[in-house]
Amino acid sequence: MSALPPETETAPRTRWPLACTAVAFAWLLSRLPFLLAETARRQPDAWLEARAAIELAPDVRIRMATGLTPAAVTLLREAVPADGRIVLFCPYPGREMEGFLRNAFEKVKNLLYPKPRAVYFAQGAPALGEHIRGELVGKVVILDGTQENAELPAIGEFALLGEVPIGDRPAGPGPRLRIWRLVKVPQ
Amino acid sequence: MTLPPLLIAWLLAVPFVLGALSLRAVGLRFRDDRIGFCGWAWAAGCLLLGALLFVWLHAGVDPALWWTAPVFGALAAGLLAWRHDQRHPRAPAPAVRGGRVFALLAIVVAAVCLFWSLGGAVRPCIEADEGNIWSLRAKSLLVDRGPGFAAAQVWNLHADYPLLDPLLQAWIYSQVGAIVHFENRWLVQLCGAALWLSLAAAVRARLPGLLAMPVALVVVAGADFQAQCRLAYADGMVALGVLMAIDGWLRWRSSGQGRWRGLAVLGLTFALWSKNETVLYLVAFGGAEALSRLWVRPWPGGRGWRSISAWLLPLSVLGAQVWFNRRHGFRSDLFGDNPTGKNLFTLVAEQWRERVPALLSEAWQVMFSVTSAHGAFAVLLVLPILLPKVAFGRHLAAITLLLWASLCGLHVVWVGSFLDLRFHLDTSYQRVLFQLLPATVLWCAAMARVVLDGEPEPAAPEPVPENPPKLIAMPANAISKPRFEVS
Repeated sequence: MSALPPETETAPRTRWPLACTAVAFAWLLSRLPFLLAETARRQPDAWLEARAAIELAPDVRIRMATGLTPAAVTLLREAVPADGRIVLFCPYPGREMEGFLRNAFEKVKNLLYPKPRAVYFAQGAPALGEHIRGELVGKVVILDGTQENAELPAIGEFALLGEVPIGDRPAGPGPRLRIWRLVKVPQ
Repeated sequence: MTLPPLLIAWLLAVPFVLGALSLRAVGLRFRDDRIGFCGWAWAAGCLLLGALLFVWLHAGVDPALWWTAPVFGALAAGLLAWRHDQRHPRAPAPAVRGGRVFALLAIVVAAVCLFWSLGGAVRPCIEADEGNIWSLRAKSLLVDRGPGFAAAQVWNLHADYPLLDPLLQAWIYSQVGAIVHFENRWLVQLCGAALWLSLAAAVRARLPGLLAMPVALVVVAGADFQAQCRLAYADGMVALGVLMAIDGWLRWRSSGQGRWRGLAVLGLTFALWSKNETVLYLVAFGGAEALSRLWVRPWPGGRGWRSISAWLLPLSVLGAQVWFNRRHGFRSDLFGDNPTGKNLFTLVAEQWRERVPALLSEAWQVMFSVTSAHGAFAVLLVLPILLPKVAFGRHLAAITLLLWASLCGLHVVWVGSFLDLRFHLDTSYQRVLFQLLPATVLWCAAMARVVLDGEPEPAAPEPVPENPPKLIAMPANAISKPRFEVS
């Protein structure tokens, strides 16, 4: 280990260590004006967010973030029995909408937990079909991410319970989820 | 805010009171470092509260009775503090001169941190890792405590993560009596303000106030710090714990006073129970300490039973976490519990050719970006090469090697990640590196201190009094003065 530096009791007060340290601190502190400018640039948003956090009720903030109103949350919880499940159906494999719906799925399941506990993501008709079974009649609620006015691609009868906007822009036209309940499966 | 003011006061006062008593129990007093004490107290209080709730949880205590946990905790910590004061009486510290402007600025910045935390409440805690990992586990601790806990984590990518962050959120749920989606972040968010106070104190203890304030502000002005104030991620908690551990360790080494070792132990334990990366840092520290012994003489007082017993607390927390994970069948994705079924080392061997250049490119961009505080890592990488006698001298060798090894280890994890590299870097690179940023800035300050003043002389360890003398009979000059007293 001869290449390793020898132990020193006191660091030499030479110009080299001082110069190196000064350059190091100059390098570090050179970021400060830019970082403070970035922070200042974000402050108007921070003020608005802090105001919203104080003034807006939790339900309103949840609706702003998810699109789900308290009524929609109640509807979902009441529509699913204790041993039931929610399935978020995404018919858009590999498209940008899939990411959006997965994000919506995360929010919905975390918002509703623990009522219900069983929440599934079904991408495509075969995955949805796994939840369409006789023993699950009346126990499955499907959050349908289909944005067109199309029927669910699964064999069974469904009752449309409602429709909720999703995402950060609940006001005005935008993505929505249709809420279906499985009511009958053909023998 | 929809909670009654008294409940808010209770929720926030409990960790601080528990922490202040815990610090007193290890011998730290407010006047030892007035700025730092407030930050350390928050971390120590969160740690003690988490430990108590863990015990209450597994003792089957109903969440409606969890309010009893801090009462018992305060009694126990108060008793230990009283016992410590009896055994180690200390004369009042000399009057602190100056530093008021620095303290005032520190308080102002802490208030800004609280403002950022408030802004985080605009969005519910149900998205990304915050919702999928941390708050989900917190909810499950309350509503799926038994065998259902594992089943509830089916969508949780990291069900094996440590429990402190979830326990702190569960504390809020239990006291509010319902699952809330905003207030549950509070204790974790306030670790951001505690991190600022601890960092300001650590840097101020080594640099003049005029330099210490802007240096510490580099961390706070970064977007990653502000995100820690807003969200319930545990990376800021790790940063706080690692900072406390290194600060306490350096102060202990230079002063020989056991209370600073106590601070280091509390910091290490807090970090270990916050996120798994701390295990990597702990291993790195062990390796760094062993390697540095090849050319650095050991410090006095490092091998007594007190030093050995100091490991009991962090090892207990590690043991509790391992037990909890085994009980519920959770395994780390680094050891093969991921869609590829391959462990970290296999994936590193398979992916390093493809990933190392991309990772180096990312590191280069981050370190050289003027809008990122991570430029401190460039100093960490270069300055020891320019000043090896300082960086690898007796005072800093282990810390320099620890930070180098930790930084390297984190990058190895990204090389061996089963996730798409671009996705993983975008979602975690700067956030996880932030865990080491405050400690790196502290290291820069310590380097400057050694360059300016030379290495601190090794201090003899504090003797353990067999028959504690009366405080009144102890001359003031018999009290060993810490080298890094805040002034």
